[in-house]
Amino acid sequence: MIWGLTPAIAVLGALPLLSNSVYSFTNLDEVGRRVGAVGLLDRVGVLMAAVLALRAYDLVVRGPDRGVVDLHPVRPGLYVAARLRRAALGAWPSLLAGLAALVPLRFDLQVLGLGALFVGGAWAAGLGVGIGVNLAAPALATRPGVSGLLDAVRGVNPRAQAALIWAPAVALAGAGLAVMGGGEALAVGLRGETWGYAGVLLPWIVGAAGARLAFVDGDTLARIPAVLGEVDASYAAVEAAEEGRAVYLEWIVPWAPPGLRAELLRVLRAGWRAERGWVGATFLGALVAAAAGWTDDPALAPRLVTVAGLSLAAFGLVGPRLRGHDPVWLTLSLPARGRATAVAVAIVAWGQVVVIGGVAALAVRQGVVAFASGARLEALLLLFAALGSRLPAAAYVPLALVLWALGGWA
Amino acid sequence: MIVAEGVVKRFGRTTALGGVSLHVRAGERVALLGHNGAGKSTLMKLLTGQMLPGEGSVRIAGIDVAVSPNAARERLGFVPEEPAVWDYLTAREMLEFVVGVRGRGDVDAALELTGLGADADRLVREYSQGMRRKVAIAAALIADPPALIFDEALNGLDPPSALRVAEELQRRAAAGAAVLLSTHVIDLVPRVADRVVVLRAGRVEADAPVAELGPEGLARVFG
Repeated sequence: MIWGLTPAIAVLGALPLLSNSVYSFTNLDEVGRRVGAVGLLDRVGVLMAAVLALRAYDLVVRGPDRGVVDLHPVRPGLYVAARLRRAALGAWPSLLAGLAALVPLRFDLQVLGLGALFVGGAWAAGLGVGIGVNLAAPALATRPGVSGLLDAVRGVNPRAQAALIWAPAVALAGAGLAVMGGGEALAVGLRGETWGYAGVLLPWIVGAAGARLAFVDGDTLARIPAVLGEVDASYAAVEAAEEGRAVYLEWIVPWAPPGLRAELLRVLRAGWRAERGWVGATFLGALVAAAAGWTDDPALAPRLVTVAGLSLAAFGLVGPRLRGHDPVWLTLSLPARGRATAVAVAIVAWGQVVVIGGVAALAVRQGVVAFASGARLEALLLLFAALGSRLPAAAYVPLALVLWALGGWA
Repeated sequence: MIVAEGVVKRFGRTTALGGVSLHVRAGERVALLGHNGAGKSTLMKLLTGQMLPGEGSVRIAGIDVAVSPNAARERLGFVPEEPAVWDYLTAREMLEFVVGVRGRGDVDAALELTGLGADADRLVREYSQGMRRKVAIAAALIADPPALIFDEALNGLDPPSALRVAEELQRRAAAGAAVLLSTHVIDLVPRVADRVVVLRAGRVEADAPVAELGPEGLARVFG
């Protein structure tokens, strides 16, 4: 329970450090503050909806209780209600963290209240659409309008599998659009058009409609394990064929000190095969960093460190995730010397694509000044790697957030 | 009652099952034997709706598992090789959940049957591996389903418990249930099965009554 407060406490702790960057609008006049508040709400809302929409997949499709639940018949109403309740209970720390990010809006209680309603709606939209789309995906795959679309994107996968594979992306898009639409309407409301305030309700309505999708028949819900079984079997076949091949960045191993090579090779392979989504996300982080660095305005150059730094802070979590795969016998029977260092080296190696992507974009637009940002990002990456390779996730997250805030502020 | 008809399952270029047919009738206990990689686990996943056949069909109590998986689950009690239990419930709470979703069952009787009565109110996370398996067995038996599938489910049980479960399976079969049990322990087969089916390289290599085979015959067909 107490650990659930950690993200909110970390956000509250980071607020003073972000007062001159993310929250600098609070020093402007009333109009400027309202414009800045809408921008902040948009970003917090979209982030919240995205995190929850993706988390919904973990909670309802790959949840740890599937092993028990899948052995027994499904009572659709009870099942979906229990899933929604469990997901909401598991996701309340995210809601608290999102609300904590709004504390600097206390200069205007109307904005603060509307903001809290809006961020709560983003949370509900992410969960509702995420759960609804993921659970209903196998049934939606058979509907005439959807099946034609799926045929265009499913490749060699059967429709039901393709539907489950694409469901997280659809949930992300649905929840994101609802939040963005609500944010636009809220901006109109704060400019004086009263009807715009109703936009705050849009994410709530979309979330409820999304959750309604989940109430499909029992056979659809009971079919999900079979569809997942097929997806997993396909990946297992691909992974088995890949076992003999080198993984991403394996070429760096011969350059490592001899005592570190075996452990580094193990970490790189485990990372690529067991945490591929996490490692692969660095490429997305590189694109985002490049977008942040693509500016001619010297005043906007610091946003590269803010944006890419946050990507790197999130990426450092790969350390605790990787250690979670280590079997107990490995820790007990083999000397642990070098293991944390190998994880840190791998994180630094994987994270380079984010730094290079952002710095290259900034260098093209502003020249050598970009390398100062690059040096700061490298320093942050080293710190995230050092912490992520040694700390559990619950301790890493708040520390990394504070470090990121300090890095952006300095 | 438990039927696989011409089941083919391929993973990429690997054929895990190459046209397997298996019938377990009401009142019958069948042991499924096979070495590692023979296709037992794949067949179990198909029979329990955890995977879909590439060709052929699977039926539980006459219900096609691919078409009506939920109705098939109603009629099936399944104990997977790795016992699936909730660590933060007691055994009693876990079984009460199963009774809730299945709509029937006697928690105390299931606890008594598996010898968990004295530990019923402890969290499952405190249990040994054998006790966790007993919870999974109790969950499979509690609603008295007409089809029972046990995947290596007696492994890890102490001999008296394994014997008690074997006797219960015999009693259920006598009352009309169909029982399919996979195992590596060939010595256990005469106690738990009337008929044995041997899988090898994804095909049924032998299908014969245990009484006809005898201990030497069992060792020969499995060897």
